[in-house]
Amino acid sequence: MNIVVVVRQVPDLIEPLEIASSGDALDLDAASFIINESDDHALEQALLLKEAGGGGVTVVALDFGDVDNSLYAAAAKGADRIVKIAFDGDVPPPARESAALYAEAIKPLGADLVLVGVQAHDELDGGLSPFLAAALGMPYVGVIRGVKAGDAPGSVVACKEFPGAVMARMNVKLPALLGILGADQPPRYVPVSRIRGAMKTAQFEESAVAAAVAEPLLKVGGLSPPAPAARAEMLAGSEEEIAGRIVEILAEKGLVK
Amino acid sequence: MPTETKFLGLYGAIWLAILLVVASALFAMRVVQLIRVLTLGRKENRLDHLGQRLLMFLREVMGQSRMIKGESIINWAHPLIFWGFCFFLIASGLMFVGGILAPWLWIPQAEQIPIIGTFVDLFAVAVLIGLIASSIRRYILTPPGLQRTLDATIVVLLIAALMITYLLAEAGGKTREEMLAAQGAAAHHGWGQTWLPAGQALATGLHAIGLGSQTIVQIGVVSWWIHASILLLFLVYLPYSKHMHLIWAPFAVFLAELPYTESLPPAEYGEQKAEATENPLSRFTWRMLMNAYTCAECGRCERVCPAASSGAALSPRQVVHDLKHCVLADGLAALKDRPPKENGEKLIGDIIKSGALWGCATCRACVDICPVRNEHVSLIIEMRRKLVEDGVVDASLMETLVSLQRYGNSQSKSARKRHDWAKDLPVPVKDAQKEPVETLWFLGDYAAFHPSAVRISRMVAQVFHAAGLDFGTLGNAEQSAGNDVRRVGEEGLFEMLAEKNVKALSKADFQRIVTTDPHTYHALKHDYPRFGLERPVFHYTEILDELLAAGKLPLKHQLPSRCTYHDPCYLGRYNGVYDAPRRIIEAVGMKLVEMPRNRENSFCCGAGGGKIWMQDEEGVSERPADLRLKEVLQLEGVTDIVVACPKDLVMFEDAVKTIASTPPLCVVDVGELVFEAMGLSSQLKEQKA
Repeated sequence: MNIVVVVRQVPDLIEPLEIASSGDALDLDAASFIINESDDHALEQALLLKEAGGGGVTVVALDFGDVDNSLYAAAAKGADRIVKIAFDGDVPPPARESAALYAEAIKPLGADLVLVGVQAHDELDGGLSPFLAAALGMPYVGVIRGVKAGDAPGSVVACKEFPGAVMARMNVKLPALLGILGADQPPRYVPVSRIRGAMKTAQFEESAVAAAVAEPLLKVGGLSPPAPAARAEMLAGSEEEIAGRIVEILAEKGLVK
Repeated sequence: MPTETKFLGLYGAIWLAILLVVASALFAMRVVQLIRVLTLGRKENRLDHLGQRLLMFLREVMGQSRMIKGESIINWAHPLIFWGFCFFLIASGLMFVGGILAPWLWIPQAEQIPIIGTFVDLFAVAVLIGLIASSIRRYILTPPGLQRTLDATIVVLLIAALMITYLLAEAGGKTREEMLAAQGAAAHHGWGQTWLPAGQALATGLHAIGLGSQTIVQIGVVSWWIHASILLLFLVYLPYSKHMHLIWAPFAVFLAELPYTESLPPAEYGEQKAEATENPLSRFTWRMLMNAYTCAECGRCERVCPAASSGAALSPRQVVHDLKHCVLADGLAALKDRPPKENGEKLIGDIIKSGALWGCATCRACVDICPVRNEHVSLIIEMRRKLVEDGVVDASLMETLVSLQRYGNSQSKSARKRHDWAKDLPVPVKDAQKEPVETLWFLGDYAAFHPSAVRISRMVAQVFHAAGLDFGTLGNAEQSAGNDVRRVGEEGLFEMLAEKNVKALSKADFQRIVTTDPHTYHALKHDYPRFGLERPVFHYTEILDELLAAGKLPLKHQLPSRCTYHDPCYLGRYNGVYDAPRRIIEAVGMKLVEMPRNRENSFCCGAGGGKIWMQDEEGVSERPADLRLKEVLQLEGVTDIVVACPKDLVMFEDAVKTIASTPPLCVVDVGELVFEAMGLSSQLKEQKA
């Protein structure tokens, strides 16, 4: 099975996000980037499928942020090919326009199965996965928690999660694109020694298609930090006074009588 | 000599020589085979500091110092057996040389040489007493971890038979002399001049039960031959049995890791490992493989292990025992170009379960108590490296390792916030990358990020300032020193952290390094020199002790409490710093009451080796930190446990809540004591007011 995985870079929320002086974008110099969590699960799922049934895993990524680190880690985990897509602009375009870029790079790869994280915390106009499925002309199932090879050749069994934790097992005829929420097991740990080894040996392919970014349909008007609705009340005084005030607050809220 | 008589037309001496040659050949073949197995391991230099090694050998092998240490009086059984064994080596040597040459040349026997003869005679009795004592211990009062194996029983019986036959041969010889004397014949070659109390008493006893002199002489001759045969049988059996430690232990002690050094060999991976993958044993160094030969299965390691004590799956003895099976099976197969039998790769994770390997806190209690200086911790870390390579890593540990990869700290905090601990401090903390400082303070993750430890770091900064110490830090450029990353088995990540830290240190101007964290201390002191760090490294208790001695630590108050002190493993056992913190505690006026397990016998809090980042494994009934605090509660009137490690602080503050004693124990840091005794807390309050 020829599996293609899309790997995106998203701002690391452990760092404080700062708004650029333009007021309509993040300050990229103040941000650091990490692999999108559900894309990491998509990669893990692809590697599990490969280990179980053979085939190859190709990772496709836009050349942005610290993507090389994520790609070396992917190579160290067992990805067979790495394809980087160069694009015009400082930041990746929104999902709809990014999908076009990814689709151009993925089409020549002859994928049986494309796995994409079903969500990313910097998405503005919806998830990338359905846009990409449409651009590739592939059937799509999203919110998947685990994929196994199907009984019939050229198919997989995908476990789809519905609201209320209702799970459905779906036979999916390939080629198809799945939006991955979680892999069958958490993403594996890859030791630094192996990443360093991959840095010496892994070859990145540049996407053969000269990708032009379409004008985004969605434009950001402005960004602002959330305004606090109410400040916390700091209790001061002796232990008895503080305890008394806590009881009063609980009573005010109707939690104690 | 009994060998002067002929059997089947040949002198007994000839038969004895044939038996000796056959037994020696069988012994030598096995030993050579075992040495060849060791050569399958990785290279490691253990021939440095030969003088220190010789002293260690004399003290611990000849002096049996480790055998006598700890546990109980019954430990004296082994030295008795060992020293007896040494005397018997002389006696046996003379016996074989004399026996083989007897028809042609007289060689004095041990029992014919004054003093030596008496010693051997008395040691035969001592060994028998030692055997009785050790058998009572093994079969009746069996301590946890001590095995009742057939192998052990066979060896006890063989040694007992050796001693009894020796004494019977002596009794026979004495009786023969008496017969000669009664006939007016001169004592042969001075026989009879040596005082042999046990042999004489046995001869008297045999007479008393009605045996005639001639019968006793014949019993003596038969016993002599049985004794010689058992010795040769023992020689052949020894390298196949658990008692092969008799052969290997002296070498193991001489070639052991030296105290207060770092002998954990770097991992081999990538191109280095390409050649090494052919045989699974090549993952280990030859000294690690040697652990398998030297283990006497005494179980001491298991009894002092905090993981085993708390119910975890780890038994250091079992780890070495399983290694032994694998080394013997796979190693011998490899010598014959056969595929591995046990498969060393399966050893790690299958035979020795990953849970057991992750249970180790790398406290070194097992290494320090081991009478033959086996190196369980290095062995376990090497096996952990394989688990890390295979991604067999606890979810919580994996999260921490990812945090260390991304942010350079174990606390999943932004690297840009590392220096936030010093925010709004009333004293300046210099940036050592911007201005020269005498002392560079390397904080470590817990001291920089963990709320409890940050409180102490802020106090220590004020103490340093008040003492006039010219100090600074690397600010946000510091990353985790990686001590526990290395002990988790993530060598590549450790190297990455070390390289970044050494690069940051190279941009700073300083004379020495101080740290409050013993784990960081150990890594900087012993692991970093190979990355280019050349400055001396100190624990802050050493610096405070130095300031105290120089009169630069003005203590205004005496603190009245009774306290105990917990020796951190990486400060005490790993680096021998025991006295500096104790001197400070006494200087601030506290009454120090030692716990039963103190100094080199300290009991780990359970945080080391990355354990603080892992979930408790199944089966853990009481965590080591809880057990340790229960030990504190046994001390009369002790209200405080003093620590000198941020991880101890975190572990014990947590354990105080678990054990819920009344009144609750106070966990205080040495830095906090000095801060209070210098009157800095009241000064701070006044400033705030």
